[in-house]
Amino acid sequence: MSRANNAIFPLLVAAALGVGACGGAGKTTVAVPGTASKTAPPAPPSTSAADSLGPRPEPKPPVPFVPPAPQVLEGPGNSKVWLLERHALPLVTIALVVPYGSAAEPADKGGLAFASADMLDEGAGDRDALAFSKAINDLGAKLSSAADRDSSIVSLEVLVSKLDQALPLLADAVVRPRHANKDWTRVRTLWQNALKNRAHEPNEVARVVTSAVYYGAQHPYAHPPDGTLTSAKKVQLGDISKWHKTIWRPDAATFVVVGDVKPDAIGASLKKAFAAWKVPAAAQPPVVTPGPASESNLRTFVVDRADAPQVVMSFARSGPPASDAVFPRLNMLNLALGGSFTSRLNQNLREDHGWTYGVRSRFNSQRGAGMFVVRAALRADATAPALRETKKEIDKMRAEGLAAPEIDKVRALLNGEALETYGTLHGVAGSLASNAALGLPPDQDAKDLASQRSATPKDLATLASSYLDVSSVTLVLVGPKETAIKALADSGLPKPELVDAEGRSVAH
Amino acid sequence: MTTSAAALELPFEQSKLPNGLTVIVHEDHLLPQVATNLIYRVGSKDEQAGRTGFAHLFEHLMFMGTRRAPTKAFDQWMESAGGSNNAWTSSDFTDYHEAGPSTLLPLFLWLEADRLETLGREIDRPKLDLQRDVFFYKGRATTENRPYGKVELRLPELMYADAHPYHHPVIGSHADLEAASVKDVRSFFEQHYVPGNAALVIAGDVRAGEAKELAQRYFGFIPSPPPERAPKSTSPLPATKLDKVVRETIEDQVEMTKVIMTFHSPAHFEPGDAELDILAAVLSSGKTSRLYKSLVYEKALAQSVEAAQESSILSSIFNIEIMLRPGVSPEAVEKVTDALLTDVITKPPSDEELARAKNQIAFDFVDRLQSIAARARLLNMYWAEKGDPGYVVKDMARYDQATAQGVLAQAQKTITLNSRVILRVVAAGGRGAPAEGKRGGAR
Repeated sequence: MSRANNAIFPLLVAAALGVGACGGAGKTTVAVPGTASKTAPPAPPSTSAADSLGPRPEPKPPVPFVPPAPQVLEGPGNSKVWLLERHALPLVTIALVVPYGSAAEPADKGGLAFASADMLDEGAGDRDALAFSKAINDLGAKLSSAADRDSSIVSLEVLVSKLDQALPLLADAVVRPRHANKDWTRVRTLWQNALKNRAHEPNEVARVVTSAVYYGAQHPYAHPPDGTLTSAKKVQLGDISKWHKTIWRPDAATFVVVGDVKPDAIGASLKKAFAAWKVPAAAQPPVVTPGPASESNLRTFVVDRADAPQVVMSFARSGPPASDAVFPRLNMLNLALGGSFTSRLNQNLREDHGWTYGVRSRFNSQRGAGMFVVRAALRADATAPALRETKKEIDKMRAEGLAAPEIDKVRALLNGEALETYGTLHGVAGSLASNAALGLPPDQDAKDLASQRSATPKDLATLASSYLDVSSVTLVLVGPKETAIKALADSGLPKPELVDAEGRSVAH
Repeated sequence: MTTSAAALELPFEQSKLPNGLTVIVHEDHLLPQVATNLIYRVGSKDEQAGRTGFAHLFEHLMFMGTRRAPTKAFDQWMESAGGSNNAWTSSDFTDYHEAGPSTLLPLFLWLEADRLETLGREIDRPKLDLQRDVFFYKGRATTENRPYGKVELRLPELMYADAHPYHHPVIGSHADLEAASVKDVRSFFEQHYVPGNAALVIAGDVRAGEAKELAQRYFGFIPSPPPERAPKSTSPLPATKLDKVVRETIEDQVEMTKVIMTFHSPAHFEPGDAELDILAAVLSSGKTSRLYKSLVYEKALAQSVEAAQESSILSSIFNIEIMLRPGVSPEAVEKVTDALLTDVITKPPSDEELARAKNQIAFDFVDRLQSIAARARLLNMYWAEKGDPGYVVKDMARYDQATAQGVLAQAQKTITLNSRVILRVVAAGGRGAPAEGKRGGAR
């Protein structure tokens, strides 16, 4: 249910999971964390007569969960505060978000928003980078920052007893960053090294290249939010400072606060800590809402990874913006198609054929024109049949929509996912921050579930026929060149263009 | 430290079924959800020589379907009702867990009881062969596709003597699994997958009385193990001591060289274990930590550093991983690192460093209690390791009571520069940093 599918949610989750030096029972070395081992053989025969275990219990339908809406308060400098109180633990998570991300960057400075977020904790106010890091760590707090296509975010997680000491640090990071040359030199080098590492990670390469070739060079969503090797070299410290001043303004910002605090107290604490944060004289920059990618025919691209044991398949077609009324219901189609373990694609490619450890699809949640993406790392020799089966499954859903039991399953899954999201502070904060960034209302999560619960089979069939046409997708294969080209030819697909790990054309 | 014990204490009720299964219930009524966690006290350490990989293989076999819950049905029923599930295996334990709306509790228990009761009996040659293939395909793909993945397979072999239960990696050996007979597998199951070797935690929007009743209803009929069950080996463990510096270089498809230094350290909850968590924070948590500040911030030799006390129940390892910047020689990094390590075995950490580490740990103790699934796991891990699901307060006290002198004393025992493993992972085919200056590298 959560729309937080961009950088924001993983950031908050990663921060929350960053148990670091913590001892205790939860840290036994895990060989295969979070990886279920669920590949299955042909079905064994069915039941016998007397059974001590008794019949399988039929679960009672759960009470439909309605996500609570946050209170909306006035924050410092015309900012908004979305507050959801949670008093079970003495913790608070604050996510401060503005609706400016990589889509709003100058065309030749890809990664500016990302690098700017990276510089947020590199010294601020009276503290240099080391002193700032020390001050945060002294409190046992966690401060993290990120940028995705549509937004920039900085988040603070802290014991509530340390909140009043931590808030001025958050405020300094936003209002008085130092942006020292020495720190930028280091951050830039680490960033460029990370981009070199990215080129070795096939799933990352597939992500970067798919957006690049699907949207096409000049589109604001084409370049990766973390930039490219070329664009990273062009970003200068002056650009960072200018960008920071432009986007971090209170009248564009939302504080999402979740945890053990009361409205009056948190309102006063924020106003005190952010007293120096004023609305600048310059007009608020426009929020960028990119239009759709230009129409195109079926196109194929190959990124060569010689000797790789797998071929990563990734393809894209258009999807609606996150604010479109159909968006939550498209998520229902997606859960049934490739968004869950028992989805049709995962059952086919993984469980029936063993071609992949998992296939996933999704409608990207974006302020502007969206994208429907399917991705899987395939056994190299199974690329052609996997492409065929993927197309077959999608065409089938497009033609027939969802059957009633599948709709029930999807509704149950959405209910379960909502409970999981609202079961942790970082889950709630991630979801609300994403809604705020995309210009959606505070109670969007409840609205989504209501829309999903009222969808009829006919509604979903209509959507499937409009949004699951994959006859003219942009398809990317990352793997050994010869294998990939042969798989495309065997599947009757067009001859590919060879591109590098960032989607630039390379000579044949 | 400021975190009060009251914030950490999770109320629970513990009981035992007549067949020996421990049942732990934690009520939390914030949201209408439930989490179950079933831990079996068996891991790769319990495997016999020549039969490695069984614990993890069994985790896979447990998802293969049974007579009552045929192939695919487990997940279909689970997701159709809005639930989710997974499992993991370590050297010490195997853990199965589920979460979802609270109305799913009977289904979760029925599914777990079913596979505990039937799998040992139902395992046959075709099932074993099929799962073994899948298992190894996954193992290989995971290793080959994840940069630096080979380290976790090789490190245990270098750290522990052949006869030590931690010598082999959790995934085990292909040859051993190839050689495994159905009888071997069944006997492993019968020895370890018994109610008395497991605990079930039920956490969330449930009433303790009702939850216990459901546990009895679904697990109560499963028999206790026969009395002739083989006792666990009581032979003394081989010494966990290296008498020299063990060096090895691994080639991998990576951009940057990584140096890994590993030392033997005290088992989880043994004296010194908590002090090493504090030492790890002093070394690599935050920009002012010793290794980060020197290697990444000041000298610009490293891309990242990470130090951790990786605790297990028989013995632990203290691990330092340093990702080198392109063109930097491993020798230079090792030299600087050794100087910094010499410092922590010469002088105690400052009061400020100690307080900072303790505050970070205090935060983590509270933070990890957020989800009911995490709480279910925590209660069960404390049960499995200490026999007391409520051990959290005593656990926290270890950190509260730690002193700078205590950290120094443990550092002196653990950080032994003349007996450790030093692994280097370098780019295959000679790309990346020059080694020993013999090859041209990035300039």
